Amino acid sequence: MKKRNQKVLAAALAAAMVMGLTACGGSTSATEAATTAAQAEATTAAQAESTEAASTEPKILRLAEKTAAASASALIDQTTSSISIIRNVAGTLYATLPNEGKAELMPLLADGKPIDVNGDGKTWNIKISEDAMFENGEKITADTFIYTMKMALDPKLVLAKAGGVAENYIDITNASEYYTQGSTGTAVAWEDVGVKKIDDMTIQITTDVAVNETLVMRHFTSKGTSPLYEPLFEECLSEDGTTTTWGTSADTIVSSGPFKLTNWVVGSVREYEKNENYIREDLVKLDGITEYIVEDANTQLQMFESGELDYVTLSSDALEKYGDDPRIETLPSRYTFCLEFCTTNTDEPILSNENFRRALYWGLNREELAKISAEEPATGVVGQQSIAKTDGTTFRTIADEAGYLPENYGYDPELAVEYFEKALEEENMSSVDITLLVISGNSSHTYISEYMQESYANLFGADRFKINIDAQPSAQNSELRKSWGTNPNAYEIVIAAWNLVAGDYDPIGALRPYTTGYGSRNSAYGYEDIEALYAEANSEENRLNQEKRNEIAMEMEKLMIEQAIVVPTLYNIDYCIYSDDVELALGAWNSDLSWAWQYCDLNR
Amino acid sequence: MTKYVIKRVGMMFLTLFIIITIGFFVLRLMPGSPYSDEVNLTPEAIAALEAKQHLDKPLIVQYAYFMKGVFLENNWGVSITMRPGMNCFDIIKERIPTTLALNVLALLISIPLGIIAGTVAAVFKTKMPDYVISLLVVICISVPSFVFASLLQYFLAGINGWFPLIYNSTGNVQERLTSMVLPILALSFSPIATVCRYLRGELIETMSSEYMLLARTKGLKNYQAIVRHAFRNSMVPLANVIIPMFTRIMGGSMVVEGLFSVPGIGGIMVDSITARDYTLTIAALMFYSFISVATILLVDISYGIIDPRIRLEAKN
Amino acid sequence: MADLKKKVIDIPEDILNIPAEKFEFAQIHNTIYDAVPETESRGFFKDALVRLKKNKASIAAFWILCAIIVLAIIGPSLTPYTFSQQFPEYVNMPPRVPYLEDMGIFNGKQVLTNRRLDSLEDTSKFPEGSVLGYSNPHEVRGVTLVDVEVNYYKYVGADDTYFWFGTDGMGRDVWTRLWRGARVSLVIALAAVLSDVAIGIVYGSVAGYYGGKLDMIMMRICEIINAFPNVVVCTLCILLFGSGIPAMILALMIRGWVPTARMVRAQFLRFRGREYVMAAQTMGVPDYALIFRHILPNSIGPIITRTMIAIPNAIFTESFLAFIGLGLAPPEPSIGTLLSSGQKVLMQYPHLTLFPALTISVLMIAFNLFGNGLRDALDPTQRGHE
Repeated sequence: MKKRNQKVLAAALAAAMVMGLTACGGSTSATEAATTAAQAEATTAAQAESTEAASTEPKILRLAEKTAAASASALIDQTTSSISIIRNVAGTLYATLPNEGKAELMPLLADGKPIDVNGDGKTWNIKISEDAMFENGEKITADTFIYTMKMALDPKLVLAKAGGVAENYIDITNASEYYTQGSTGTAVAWEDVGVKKIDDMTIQITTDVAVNETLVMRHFTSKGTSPLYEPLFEECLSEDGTTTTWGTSADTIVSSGPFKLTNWVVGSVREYEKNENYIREDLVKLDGITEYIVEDANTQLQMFESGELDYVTLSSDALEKYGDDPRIETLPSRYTFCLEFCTTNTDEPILSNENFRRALYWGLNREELAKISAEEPATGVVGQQSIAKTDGTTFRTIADEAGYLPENYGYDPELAVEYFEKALEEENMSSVDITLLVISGNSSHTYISEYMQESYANLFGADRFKINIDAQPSAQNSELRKSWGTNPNAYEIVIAAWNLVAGDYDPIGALRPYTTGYGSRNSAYGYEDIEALYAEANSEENRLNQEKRNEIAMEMEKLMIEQAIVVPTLYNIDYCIYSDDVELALGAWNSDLSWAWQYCDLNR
Repeated sequence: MTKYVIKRVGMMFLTLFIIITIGFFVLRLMPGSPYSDEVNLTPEAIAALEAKQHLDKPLIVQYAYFMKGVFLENNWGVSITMRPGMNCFDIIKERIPTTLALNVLALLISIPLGIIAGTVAAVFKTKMPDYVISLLVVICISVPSFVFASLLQYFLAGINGWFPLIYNSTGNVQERLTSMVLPILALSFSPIATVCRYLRGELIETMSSEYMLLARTKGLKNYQAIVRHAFRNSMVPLANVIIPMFTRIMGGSMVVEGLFSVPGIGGIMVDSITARDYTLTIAALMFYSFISVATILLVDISYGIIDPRIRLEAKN
Repeated sequence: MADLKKKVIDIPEDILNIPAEKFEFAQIHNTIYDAVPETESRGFFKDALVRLKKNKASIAAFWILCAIIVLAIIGPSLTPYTFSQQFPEYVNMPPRVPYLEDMGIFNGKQVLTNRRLDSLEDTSKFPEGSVLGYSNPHEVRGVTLVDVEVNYYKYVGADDTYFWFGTDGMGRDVWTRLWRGARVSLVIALAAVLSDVAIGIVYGSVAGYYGGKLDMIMMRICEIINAFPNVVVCTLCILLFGSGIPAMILALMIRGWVPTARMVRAQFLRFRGREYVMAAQTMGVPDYALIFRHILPNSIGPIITRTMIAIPNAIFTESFLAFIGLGLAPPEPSIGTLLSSGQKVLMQYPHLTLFPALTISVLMIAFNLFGNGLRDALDPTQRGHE
């Protein structure tokens, strides 16, 4: 009896294992097939090339990304990892491209700059280049773009990033109204949206307010406007047209950019091959790119050291290890870590107290904090990358010249204590106990929060001021931060950093998250003087006047420091190191192109 | 017996149904929406997105939509934030093979090793080999897997370069297997120790039983007695340790998968919960719960086969 | 009757016919005592204690545990620093202990990698006497880099300070934080495990004692709770209640009591039908007394053993949660948060991982050995060795 049962058991166990093995075996062959296909293509490509130049080994750039991408389509997701795919596969009408070592905004799929038809800045014609093609050699025409815009703004699909297509640098007539009609209830017909076909190679864009040529061009650099390949996109649509599998795998994306995605194992690796049909194929010197998904920073570093990666970003701890290595590059700050206050919080009314926030502003020794965290002290709100003048002068440079920023990086302990006393008195409190929301596992957040916790307690007295740190995973953190509207007590203080996307080059754009004009802001805001200045900067007369806008931005920043609406702490600085084999296309990092990996060269 | 199994399987599905229901309500009652991220979305846009996922409807209606999808259309829904547009079931299906391969291989390696070590320790009990093995076992279960995995990676891959640093998902079979060595090793420590510890205890207990004495008195050599009598009897309950162990390392592979960048299912639970990808969380929850409940069922049934008394009791 | 007796036992005639006068009372000459046991009588626990004492490994483990607990209590106050005190100018210092440093260990030596060879003379970078030597000169983009061995305490100008286990990235003393962390971890684990045991005993007893439908429903509930992956329960718990100590205990507790309940139930199923229980039942002993006085004591051995194994497991789970970013809120350290932050800089500053890893290992080993010893002592039938 026992014996037989043992056998049954053993058989069951064995069956389970075999099932497991066949399951993995199945996937092996599937991916293998994909790889062999890719390899076959690669060899043909290489052979084709070897007839022209005797190149020995394909030039494959190897990069690493920390998180898995959500999508290969800019209409669906635009987080860092997704963007790195999108940059490779998305061609746009206009683009920032390397030109003699400098980044320059120029036509890509378009033929020339947009044309102001009536001269009032509201109707723009864009001509599409005759050479514009998808990776499979099919031509990109006006119909392609009309289809793209129509699907991007489809009210049934409601793609997550449709907003950026409707309204970014320019506000296309009725576009936002069209794609949100499902929830607003006001029906808008596609014919009313300001996108029209003029002829086979020309589209017309209409806006409600006057814009200029650069804004139109910039709007169409946004990857969300990159052409969709109609036959495949239709295939990817669900029956009821509410969801799409577009961009979920290497087979559901068609490239119009410098590379085509040949193999994508989500969470592991992405392989690209040069797109021979790319309109600026002449600029692409690599044969391919391989991106690995490596979650652990130490693993990335080890891969770089063993020559498996060509580029790696360095944490402040790894920086110490590289010491004086001349290869270390500093990336300019992309954002400022600021304290934002949930002023709607009814449990902690002191958060709306100006003097309390001032106490935090003046009580922080930013220099010391910057030293241990390997960042730079920030007294102003606008990040270091914000450009003020067309010659590339940054906003920080002109702000420093204007001289409104406090000395000693805004550290004045006596003044801080004074403000703190005043705040306690005004609020009739004897001590403050407050919770600071941070992102767990983020080393900058850890440094800032733990340093503040200790140094404020030392400055104001541990019995009178206490910061509790609430570290939450990034998605949860953002969840709490954004829900102040529905849940006024969602958080108390948060460390927030607004990532500068290309649109926020302009300092006014960088200050927009602190005004009521910004939908996903972190707190209520709505300070009258700030709102007034912001409105003034965007008024009809100033909208296109950069100099005036800079002045207003400085005025706004000055007011924000005075009232301590937010408390800037550090400018985020990233360090990185790339291998000697890499020959960059750009001299410096560019926020549109990152390091312009697509256009770099390899000498191996 | 068949009736008993049918009854238990029915129970299993009821349990799974309850788990999903609880999971659904707990997740949806957590404050927040999947559409709150850094990029500017107007309130209208968020409303439109939520309307599309039925998130604007009352909870019970959402539940009805979900159940309708599961039971009538066999559709677990589409991922909201992690892989927008992709069917959740496909996401899990895409990730299971790698995790399963790692875990099954880890078990295939650790069970024989554990058995050998356990037997040696039991045979040489309170002698040198026993102490050495016991010490190793204790070390294996007392160092957190992330420390172990990091050290393995640093010394065997980083410094010496004997193995690849990360999992290779595109290479040929041989390259893939070499790249799986370190993750498998990291996953094996704890099962080896568990099997070894358990078997040693079992064996020592059986070895002191009367029938072993009989076996020895009837003239069997020590090793014959151990192999023919003690070993066999100890192996039966071992199956009941090994099966649940599978669930445990499935859960524990998260850390190892992260370090060696294995595209497995490990991190999907935590990531999807924090990213508010409700549909994916439920699908993943379903997967894990199924494994856990099915394991219990398997253990119970195997107990039933081994020990008729339990089966009888269940019938009553 | 008499006939029957006769048939069965055939008593010899001569015995039957012993005359009455030959009989006499035994106690007339001898005093009869109750037999006094030659050895001292001992109860269950005393008996267990004697057995435990024979197990040298367990006793050693017990003393190690005591030492760790004592260190967790007094350790943080042995240094002039507090666990949250930061020295921004002294970050990531290597360990340095007085007296031991003269023996060549814990002497504050550190190798700074990839420094410019020509900067070694620069006293503003490397103060007098801080450089002990250099190795591995290599050239990168025309610059000669070397690995410099320095006395880090001289290097940062802190020659008269001692951080026994070094400092972390915020310049906090590792020794102080380690023992503070051990304390926090132990408290969390102990609280979680004790509540597990309490819930598990009550739940398991009720299910096991009453049996039938109630038992089945209760066991299904257990199964459902158990089917939720641990990481899901912990994640949800921490997302909902924040990353404080109470939330952590709750997270560990929600699923933790199920095994105890299962085990207690099994014990009840075993003993429920025993004669002594039936006897008590017939005599009208109330249910609660039956459960807690008559049946439960049988499970004490396994419960204690389980507790001993569950405590280090709870510490383990806590460190796992810290590693995936759901750890305890700073500045309060725990072994888990120390380990997970140490793991991030394992290659650069191994001492930040080494000490917490050693502590958790020693704790685990001690708990395991002591738990094994206790199991053997409390339930000799389960004994593994002796």
